[in-house]
Amino acid sequence: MTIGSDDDYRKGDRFVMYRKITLAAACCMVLAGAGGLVQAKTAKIPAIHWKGTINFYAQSLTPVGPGIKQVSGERPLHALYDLSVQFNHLYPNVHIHFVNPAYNSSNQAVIANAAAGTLKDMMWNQYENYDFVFPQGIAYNLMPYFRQPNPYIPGNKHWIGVMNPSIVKETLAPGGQAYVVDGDWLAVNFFYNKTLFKKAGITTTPKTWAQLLQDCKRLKAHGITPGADRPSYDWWSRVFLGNYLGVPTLKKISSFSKSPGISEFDNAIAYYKGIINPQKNPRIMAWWPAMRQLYHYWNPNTTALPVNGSVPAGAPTGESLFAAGKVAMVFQGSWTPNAVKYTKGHAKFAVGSFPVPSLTGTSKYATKYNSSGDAGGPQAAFQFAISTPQADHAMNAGKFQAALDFLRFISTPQHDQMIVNEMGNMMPTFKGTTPIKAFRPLQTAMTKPWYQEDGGQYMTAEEYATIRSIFAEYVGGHISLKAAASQYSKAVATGFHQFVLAHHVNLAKY
Amino acid sequence: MQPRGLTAALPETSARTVTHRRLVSGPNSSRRWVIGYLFILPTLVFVGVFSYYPAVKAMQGAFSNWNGFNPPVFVGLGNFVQMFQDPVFIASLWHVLIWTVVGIPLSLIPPFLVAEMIFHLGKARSQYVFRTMFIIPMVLPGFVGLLIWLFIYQPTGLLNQFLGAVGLGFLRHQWLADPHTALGALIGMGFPWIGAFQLLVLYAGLQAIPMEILDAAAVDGVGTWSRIRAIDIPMIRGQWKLLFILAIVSVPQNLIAPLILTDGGPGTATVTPVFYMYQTAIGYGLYGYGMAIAFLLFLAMMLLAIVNMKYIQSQPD
Repeated sequence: MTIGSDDDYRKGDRFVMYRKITLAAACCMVLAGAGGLVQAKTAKIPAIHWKGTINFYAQSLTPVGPGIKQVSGERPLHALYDLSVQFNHLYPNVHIHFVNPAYNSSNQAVIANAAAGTLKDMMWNQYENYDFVFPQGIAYNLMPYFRQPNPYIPGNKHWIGVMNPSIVKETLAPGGQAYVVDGDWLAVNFFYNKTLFKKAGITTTPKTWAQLLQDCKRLKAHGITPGADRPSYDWWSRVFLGNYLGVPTLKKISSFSKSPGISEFDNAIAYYKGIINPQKNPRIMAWWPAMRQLYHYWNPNTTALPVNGSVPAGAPTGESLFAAGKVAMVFQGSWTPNAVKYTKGHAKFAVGSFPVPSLTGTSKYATKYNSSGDAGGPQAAFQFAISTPQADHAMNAGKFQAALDFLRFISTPQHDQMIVNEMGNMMPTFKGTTPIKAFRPLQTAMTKPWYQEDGGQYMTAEEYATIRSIFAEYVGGHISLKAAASQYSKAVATGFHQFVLAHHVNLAKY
Repeated sequence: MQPRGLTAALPETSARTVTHRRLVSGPNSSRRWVIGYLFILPTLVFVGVFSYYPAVKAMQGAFSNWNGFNPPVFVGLGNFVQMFQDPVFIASLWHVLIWTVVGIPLSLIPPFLVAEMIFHLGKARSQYVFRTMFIIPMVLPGFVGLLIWLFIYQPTGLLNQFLGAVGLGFLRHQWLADPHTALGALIGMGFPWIGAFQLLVLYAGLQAIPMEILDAAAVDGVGTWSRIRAIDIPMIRGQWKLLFILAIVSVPQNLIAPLILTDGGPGTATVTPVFYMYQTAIGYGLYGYGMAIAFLLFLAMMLLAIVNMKYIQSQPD
């Protein structure tokens, strides 16, 4: 790999200087072996006797490099590549090969590759998939290593000590296994086209749900489509259920497993106790009518798309219509501004953002709790696992040790910040990290006690797909709330029973 | 040129049989057998590995709980019991029944009408031109055709625009997003349902009708509809049977349309058994259950094939 290639991508990149300095420092560190922190690091690093190449699928954090070009809608990245070079200087016999980001990481492909033993050595995927969807045994349980020191963090006694405890809790499997190192946080907000808002005479962003609907109406009256996307149950359920249930109930749900955050285990107990059972608690679906009102203004071609699976090729998406300047806003992840900026042929407009406005008035169950930060979370780009020999026949004890060390190497606060901030779409989550300026106001959402109550939608993959589909049917106006409630109740009940059976949950204890 | 002697006096088939007997009982017979088997061995291996082995594995898997990765656990008939208690699977059977009842006439009648029209065009050149025009769409990949229909059915798509333009705006609809219309929309795809393959088969059948019969009908003053009813349809019975059997076997296996356009939704409105097999196995990782559905589909298809062989193919045309 040639350092300094792809200069076309790097021109004007404000991380170039930082990267060069880092690289230079790394080279000095290894070659000269001098300097306080540097010396401390090199003095304690473990020896790796294994020789070879680790294949690493880093999804959207994949750096550009030999054979890997910038993807439209993605910022060209270099940080992981630079870190791999540093690691290679520390361990000349260990090479990191980044897999093309076009690699198929769908659930089906992962399971098929694992069954064939051809999974990549290090893999990105959503922690929920490792915890609930993929068969057990695809990835190593990293929890024992979380409790050990990370030798690449000076003075560190337990690797887990530099991680956000709520995120660790959220990402654990029901049996307490940690399959991924999760190092970033995705914020979900409304992103809007300032030009179109101005054209409709909207000068301030909405502060209440009623104002949001009023702005949609005004945009529509000016011939502007207010928004676009497939109905997103995932994020909206967190915003509304967090608000409607309120902090005391959320704390109660969180307490079932005696650690911060809300896991699917907590949700299973909460369902058992009737807290999130829609037949026993009217709050659980009381927010759906508010969402139907909002989606009424969304581009119908996007809300009519199937909500599960990929968007059919060529079909319009919220992102594509927003980047083209055809809709005024989207409720999307914090990657949106960069996705617009780096989409080829995007329209020229300034992107603004605003959080979910106050939910007061959306139903009688709305509380004053600001749950806007509950949309988003650690379901982002920095979620890396190491495949087991059963799923990756190229894996062995020596290679695992090398992969684990590379994972430790990139999962330090310093490197987490470097990797995540270069992308500029998410916030780093390790203790002591600072996000880029644009995300600093959102950082408190990540550091305060945080509850993502999703209604237990992830208890099984089937339940998840079914609930999303029911929600889309309802907000699309195709079924009544009564019909939706009946179907939803069945789906979540089935999910609960399957979850309890699969994970041997002892309900008698609760 | 016919061979002389004994074989020359025999019908062709018998001559071939005698030749075959000589080959298998002659001095080099075992060597010839070996060579024969060697020739078919590669094909046998491929068929065995890629057709029979997966099918046998699927049959085994149907009686197990398997997530595609860890060792399967034998559950006996558990998957089959679950299947008939599963409302989604039951719904999928209804969907495929509706699809079959409506879809088969749609796949046979329009091509037949077009084949009739082309066949009775006066000039051979005109027949050639129209035949070609109807066949050309065959080169369009099926996937592209589906995407075209996706855009036709969109809320702001061609169908709704057309309805608005002709004063039927009140009929505009979210065709694929509404559970009441989604299945009908999938069945209705392909309008005007002139399948090139069906057209060619039926057209070839019409061409095979002896001209003497058609001339006699014309002399007797038989009208168009009477001729179609009394001569054309019965005379191409073989083609009808072939297309009917192919349709009845292919409709229940329709996976791609619901997968690409609706993902089985909205809700479960467009789930078919084969789609559900795919969804449970590939989407939810319930491979054992998916294989049980596949096994049942296999039995149903085999039953249809047996019925076809016993009761339809054996009847004289």
